[in-house]
Amino acid sequence: MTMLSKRHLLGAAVLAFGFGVTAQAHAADMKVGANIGNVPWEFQDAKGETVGFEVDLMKEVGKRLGMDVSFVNIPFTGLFAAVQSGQIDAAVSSITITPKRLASVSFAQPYYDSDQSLTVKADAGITDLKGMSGKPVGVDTGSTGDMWAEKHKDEAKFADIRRYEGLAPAMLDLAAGRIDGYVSDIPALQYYVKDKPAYKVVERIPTGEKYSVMFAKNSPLANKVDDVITTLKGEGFIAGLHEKWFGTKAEPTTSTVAKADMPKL
Amino acid sequence: MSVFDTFLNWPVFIEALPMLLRGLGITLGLGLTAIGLGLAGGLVLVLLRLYGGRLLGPLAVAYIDVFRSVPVLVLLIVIYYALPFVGLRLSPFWAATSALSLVSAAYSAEILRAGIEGVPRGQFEAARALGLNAVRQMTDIILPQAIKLVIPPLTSNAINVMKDTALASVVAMPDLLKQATQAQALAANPTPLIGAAVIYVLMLLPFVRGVGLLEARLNRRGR
Repeated sequence: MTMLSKRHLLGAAVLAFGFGVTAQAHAADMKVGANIGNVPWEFQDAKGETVGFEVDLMKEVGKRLGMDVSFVNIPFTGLFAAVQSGQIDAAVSSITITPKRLASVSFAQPYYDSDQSLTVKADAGITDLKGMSGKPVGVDTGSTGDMWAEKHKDEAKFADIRRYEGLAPAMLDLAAGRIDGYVSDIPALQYYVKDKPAYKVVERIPTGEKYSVMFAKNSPLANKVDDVITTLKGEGFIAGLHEKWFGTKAEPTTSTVAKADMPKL
Repeated sequence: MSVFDTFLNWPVFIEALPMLLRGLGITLGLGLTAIGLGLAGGLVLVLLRLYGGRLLGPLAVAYIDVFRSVPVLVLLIVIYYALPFVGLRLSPFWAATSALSLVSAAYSAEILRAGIEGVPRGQFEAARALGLNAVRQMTDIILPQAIKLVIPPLTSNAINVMKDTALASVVAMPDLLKQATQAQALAANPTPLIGAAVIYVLMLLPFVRGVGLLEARLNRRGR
């Protein structure tokens, strides 16, 4: 093959690829990254369908914006790079808004107020954080639970902090006895232990976190989604999701009900 | 945000650097332990394979074949998550070290076999003629020559083991990769991952080049 024809072929390939990408972009779809398995926010039900609080929310947001929403399963720690590289348009996974994250990404207004929690094996005889003194604790890598544990490891006297890629592997190690407690978001753990009497959430750790949808920094989509969330709060749709997934009414002062501004640095 | 803010963000990198270096320490500890144990295991295996007779020889062959067929990640997950059910609960460090060195031993054994078989027959005969016993024939005459022949492939294998330590991050081991993923989630910025990649390359590139140079030199000499 001559150099010339090689170059032509390459050009054709690049063109074809370019058209493929443009054609996709015209279909106005929204790829939402989520750490599937993060109950009750996004997980697979017995039928293998992706369901959850944030799945319902993003589907409704997509409907209002006239966009097709599809979910992409990405581990929690991968979501940050994925929104910034444009691999996904938005990310949900009970992501807490923090000032440090706002330096690199954008968030819509929050829709859930949360705290951390300590979960232990029900038969371990640990009743609160004091019981964790001298014992190894598990957290999710890079999560707000990780930040909390790192900051408070001296006063809580943790023997070690082990970092996991989500709930399932951490629970396996809790069952195997490699860790004695697991610090993570309280709504997920309360939901998870509901039908698993082997585990118990023994302490709420107040951190005052707020969850929202994450976007690439200054993505135009962030403002659009934020507007829809304002509308959905006004209609009581998000409060309805709270009742559906947690079985309780959301307090009127929480960000599930009250409208809020888009978080700024 | 520009590429520099997103992927090559200097302030984010500087903030993540202490974490990355702690991870590097663990990666090195894990890698060197596994390389050492793998070499020792490989030596035992190859001697069993070549001189173990009708019983131990085939057993060594079976071990070498099985552990060259199993993916390291699969072995690691079995060791870490399945063995506790039969009462063997290894820490993340020892689970990762076992998986890496069990596999590395199989590869080292094959490499060492090529080395031993590459030593000219005359050397074996000369060693016997000197009246040395079987152990000293090996340790004094054969192995020093054999190992010299296979230094390049042994180094390549060691480089592979060092790279495979990144798999340990799946069993909650705070190695270099794990620290980088943690740092990038904390800062919501992928710069620490790029930093980790650069550290891996800087650490292994001299060895990779060294193997190349050594091979060229051995070839020039015609051995």
